[in-house]
Amino acid sequence: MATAAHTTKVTVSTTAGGTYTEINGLIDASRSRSIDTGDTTDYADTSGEHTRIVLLGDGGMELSGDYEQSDTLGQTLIRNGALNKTTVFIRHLPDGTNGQMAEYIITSYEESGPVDGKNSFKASLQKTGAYTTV
Amino acid sequence: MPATTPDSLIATSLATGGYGTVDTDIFVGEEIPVSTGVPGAAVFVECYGGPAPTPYLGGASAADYWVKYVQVLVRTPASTKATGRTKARDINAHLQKLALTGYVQCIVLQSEPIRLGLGDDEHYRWTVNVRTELKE
Repeated sequence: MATAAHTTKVTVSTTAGGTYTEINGLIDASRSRSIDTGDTTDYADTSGEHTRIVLLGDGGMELSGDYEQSDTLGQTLIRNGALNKTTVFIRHLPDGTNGQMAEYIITSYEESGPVDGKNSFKASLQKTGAYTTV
Repeated sequence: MPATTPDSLIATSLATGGYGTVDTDIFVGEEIPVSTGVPGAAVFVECYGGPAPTPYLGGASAADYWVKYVQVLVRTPASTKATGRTKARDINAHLQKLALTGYVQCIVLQSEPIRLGLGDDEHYRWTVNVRTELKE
């Protein structure tokens, strides 16, 4: 059964086993997973198709929402991570309960605000280590 | 929903700004015909819609971002048309970037009031339309 995207929860902690707090003000969250492959096709292969082996996995997240200075246990950890080059642990829970977590490096962080609008932020994160099912 | 809706907050702000007195010549709600207790020169403040609220991630317990439009109608007898027009302009300026408690911002939708013209009851009317935004 499909689930509404607004049920998604994204929680953050500074340690893997620490207390995870929901990041406030988010309006979009996406998480990706990719796997590198190595082409092993050789002259002896007669199928006319590539053969490949699995190499390294990778992944990342994109977060965006309203900038909230008062979200000291949520957004502040992302801002501090970008400022201090420290990693954060994030649980991405599309249905609010189940999902995957990983340790992330904040590779880019941006704050903006049109003069007649509201302040917003967006962050790009790259995973280090494996995804773990929550 | 907030305990005080933007129309009530704006009516109170107009009273504080010297544009009248709530429930005397500033009223929250639709326009009331001139009658006992309702003068010809009066202001009516009423919410009228806005785009759909935008949900935040987090499910039912999370907040939404609401954009609520408010219309301020300024009415004045034909004999005091200039006074009414000036009042509408002043209210327009008063409401631009008005700080409303609990709201992200308050922005007028037009640079000048919209003149509705002379009604059959010999009163001129202008409207000032406002966009209010809040997270709750």
